[in-house]
Amino acid sequence: MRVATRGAQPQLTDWLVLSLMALTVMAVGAPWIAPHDPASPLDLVHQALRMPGTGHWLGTDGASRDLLSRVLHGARTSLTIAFLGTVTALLGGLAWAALVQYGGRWLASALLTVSDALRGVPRLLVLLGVGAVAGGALSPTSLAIAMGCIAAPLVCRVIHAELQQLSTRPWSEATQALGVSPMRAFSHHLLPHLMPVLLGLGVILVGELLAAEAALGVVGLGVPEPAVSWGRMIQDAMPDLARAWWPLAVPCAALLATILLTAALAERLNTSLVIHD
Amino acid sequence: MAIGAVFTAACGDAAKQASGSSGVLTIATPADADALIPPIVSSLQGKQAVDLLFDMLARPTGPIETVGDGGFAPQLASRWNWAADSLSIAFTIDSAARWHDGQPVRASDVAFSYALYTDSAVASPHAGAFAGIDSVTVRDSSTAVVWWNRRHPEQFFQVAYNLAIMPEHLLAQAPRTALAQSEFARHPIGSGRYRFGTWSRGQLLVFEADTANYRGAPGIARVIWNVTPDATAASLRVLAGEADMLEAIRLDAYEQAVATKGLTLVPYHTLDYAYLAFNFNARSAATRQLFAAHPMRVALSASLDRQAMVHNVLGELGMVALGPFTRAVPAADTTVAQIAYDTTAADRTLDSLGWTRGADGLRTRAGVPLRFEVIVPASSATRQRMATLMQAQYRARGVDMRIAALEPAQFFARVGSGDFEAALNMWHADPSPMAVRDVWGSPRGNDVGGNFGRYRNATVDAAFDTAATTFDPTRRRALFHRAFAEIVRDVPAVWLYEPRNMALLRDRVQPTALRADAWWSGIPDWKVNTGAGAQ
Amino acid sequence: MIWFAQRVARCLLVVALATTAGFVMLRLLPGDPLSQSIEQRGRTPEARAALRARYGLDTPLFQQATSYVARVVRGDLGASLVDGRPIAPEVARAASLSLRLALPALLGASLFGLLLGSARGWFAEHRVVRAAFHSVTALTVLPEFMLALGVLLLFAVKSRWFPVGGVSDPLIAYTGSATARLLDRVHHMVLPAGSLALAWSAAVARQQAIATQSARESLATRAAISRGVGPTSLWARYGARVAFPSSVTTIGMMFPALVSGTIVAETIFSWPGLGRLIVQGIGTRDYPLVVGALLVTSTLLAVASVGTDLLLMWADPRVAARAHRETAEAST
Repeated sequence: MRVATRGAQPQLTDWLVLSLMALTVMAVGAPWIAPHDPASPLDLVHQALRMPGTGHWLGTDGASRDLLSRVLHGARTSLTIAFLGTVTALLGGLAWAALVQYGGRWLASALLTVSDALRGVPRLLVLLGVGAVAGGALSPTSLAIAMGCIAAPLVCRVIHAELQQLSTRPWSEATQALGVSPMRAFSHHLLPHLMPVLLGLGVILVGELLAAEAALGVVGLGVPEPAVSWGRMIQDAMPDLARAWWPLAVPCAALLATILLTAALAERLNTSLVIHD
Repeated sequence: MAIGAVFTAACGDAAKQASGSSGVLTIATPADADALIPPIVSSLQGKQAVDLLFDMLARPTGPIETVGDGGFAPQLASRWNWAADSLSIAFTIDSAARWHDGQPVRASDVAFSYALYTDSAVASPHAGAFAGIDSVTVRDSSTAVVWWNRRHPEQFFQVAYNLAIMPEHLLAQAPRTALAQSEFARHPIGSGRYRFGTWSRGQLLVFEADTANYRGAPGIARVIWNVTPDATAASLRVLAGEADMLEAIRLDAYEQAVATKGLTLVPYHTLDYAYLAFNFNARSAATRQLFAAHPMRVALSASLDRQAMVHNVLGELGMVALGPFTRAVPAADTTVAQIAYDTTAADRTLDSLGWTRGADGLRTRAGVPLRFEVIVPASSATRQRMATLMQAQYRARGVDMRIAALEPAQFFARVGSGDFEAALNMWHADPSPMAVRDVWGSPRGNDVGGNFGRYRNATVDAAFDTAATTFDPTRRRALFHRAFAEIVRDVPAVWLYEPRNMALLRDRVQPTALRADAWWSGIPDWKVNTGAGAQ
Repeated sequence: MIWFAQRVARCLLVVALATTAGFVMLRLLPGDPLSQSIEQRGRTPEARAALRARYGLDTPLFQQATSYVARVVRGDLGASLVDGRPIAPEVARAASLSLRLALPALLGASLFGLLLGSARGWFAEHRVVRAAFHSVTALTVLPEFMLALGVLLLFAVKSRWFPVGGVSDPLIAYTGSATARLLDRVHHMVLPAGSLALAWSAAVARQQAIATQSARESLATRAAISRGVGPTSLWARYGARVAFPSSVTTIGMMFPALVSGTIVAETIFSWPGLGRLIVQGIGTRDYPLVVGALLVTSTLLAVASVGTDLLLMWADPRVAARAHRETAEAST
């Protein structure tokens, strides 16, 4: 791989992976690290919108909650949503692409048409639909799955293109000639070759889904209380926007750092795939 | 930068030109009007527009007094005469009144307007306001007679406050089932002191002064509603001088507005109040049982420090709601006994009801957790914040309150169909205290009105029923106070807050008093100081 | 040409599917267009029943869908369930406003992104280029609303170079001369289109950078260097030109998203475009309004995908050759 041929870069990649791991540790360890309960107001009136300071390192929000505790717990939820959503999107897209590849010409064309059509359905509608099925509010899990489903058609497109390229390789034709079953050919021969693409896609998707979750907060569809996510924090900060900057700045900074991290990692993995929709 | 400067210069010139001879009032509004024909209007912005364009028969002079005609002054009707049996009122149309196209206003227009409102083909959302009116007839070209089939104290209010008069000669041909698609909808003609100017959907709605109006030319030559959906952008518009007015400022922009020179904040009351409604007919038997106990409801109310919550969420812009009314209603009882915030009493009651705390601090009784779900519209940041604060206070009492923030359409659907346990609802009260019955009186048959929690109380019903036929204002008020006191004592809901709106105005605007039910009603009498310039 | 016909046929199918899926999902969501606000509860039960019957809301879902499709095929998008106005002009107006924002934004994003990306890929070691690239990337991972609000605060409120929002100044739109109106509209367009262009240029830049970098390291480039091709011509012919096709796809995919997915920018800049129309329609359960808007956005999506393919064929002859080969295979 190209990464290995450059002197300075493996080190940087190591750093990236290390910081990502640190982030994960913080997210996982949030209940033990966080100084306060993220969902409980410390007090009804007097502790609201405290500036970052010694008492509360990152300040408090409009509902008198400790922002440090919230951003740590929020990392937990947001990263879970992003990872779960990514896994859903990858698995869905992979299965879809495999069906397209081996399902015959008609099925392939039908599935591709459907995946194109799904891109035309507003995302808000899909999210509301999943929310309604889940009984009103979007819990983190259902949210993750919904976002994964929204991203799946796009993943399918990318994997499909990659599969097409792979199927023209000599070894691929050889497996056909040898009469290897499609299932086995896919799992033993194509899948290993897809791994780098999947990994790259995964890293990009994690970043994209983190941003998407935050955007939901902006629109007022963040995860329901008492769950905390970065999107939820942004949503809670919006009504106080003109008088307090820190409730918004804290989740946005966390978000920004994490997304930059994933973007840098994606670049290191040298994935020539750009996902957005 | 150069380009910006050129543009600014160009805009400045144009603005000066237009405002040189006459004043302009630009209002930043969060949404566009839905229609400009009174019977089919249902949005607040649509109501504001048609109130400028069309006249009623009479107008309220001060705080809305709904009994008799004492609180009203002539508008389109220059005078009116009650029949000896009080079952009809003859309105005489002002002979000077003209439609904006120059035609005189006639009595037949009144009869036509009533027919339009009550035609089921039109399906007006306001048709319900005319219950009890038998018919409207035309005695002669300038006299319209409204007939009732029973007497009640608010007869005059009912017709004068709800019936906007529209021109028969222009609307008679319009298809009743598709009024919104008619030519008239695109270019409405009324008799108000403002004429229709232009309407760009989703952008702006312009009104021009009707200088030849029978009630005199308005003070401001042109009034513009400028659609600005984002609240932050809306206050920025006023701060940047692009708009003269914002009808209600948000708390976060409040301090900045106070500190900014050239801006004034004008407080006014509203008819809205927010409350936590318990559903007495919830799907789950456990929840029904929970809310059926009066001590439990009292404890749930006593667990909440409403004053502190309102202070946190609304600051200067809200007050604790006292009961099923707002302070702006003349029948309001500001001394009604409140359920005090008392956590020890709440704990004691919950203990005595057999709800014991578990290891996690939450209470259970016979294995059943003390839990209920509150639905909140995701569109209301205020109510969501309120719910968050309530959740924490309930948790401290061992009550597990769950929050479900729903998309508004789903919230309305579930509240309307009674599919909820508790709801953080907001009610826009009618100026008439009788309308409280629609929300807190026992449901009549299938029609629950606004009583989404299916609350029933015979004492309340009796008080309202008596008040409905009581003409003496003092006795009537006493009856309402009795009903309110009983409702507050019985706790079918926790009364949370009523907004205390602040209009943000540029100093050059000189408004008249802002009415609680319609702050815009006085706009024709407002003035703008044109000397200061638009920028 | 067979290839083209097939593409068009598939596009029509995609449009039909997307619209139908949207309608069915919206229809299945809880909520009622006739009782959206408390005011509407004042309708008498008879009036509600009449409205239900008029809009066909009392018939089975399948019947509603078929009668609706029949009307749409005849070119009638129907009337709004919420305020009764005809939908076609409403959607057309919103679409034209969205396009007015999306086209300049797309152009800006493409130009800026391609330039920045090519520079980043080609002069990977250059500090200024790297700093510019990273700052733009960082800027664009900011939530969209922050970028929009920041731009608004900086250029409209603090410096007052541009208006705070809206499509035009009410006074000028109403009373100004034609030139003043045009200038005023452009003036109002700069901030929203600019912030969108900035937000979207990063995607193009990232794609172009990666492609340019691999082009720089390709054998063709090395051969050209050894042949002594000048640096400018090398960058243009062996870098930017080679990397261009891969960015075309990105740009093509961006277009429909720009048209329908700018709800945040549209809200903050008070721009009544398609994104806001759709969200509003979903919120009020205005079924025909949403379907009408979806028809437009999914058509744009389809047109953009065909356009991308055509552009790709022009930019990368290998794609054209493959398309022809596949068509030939399919028709045998």
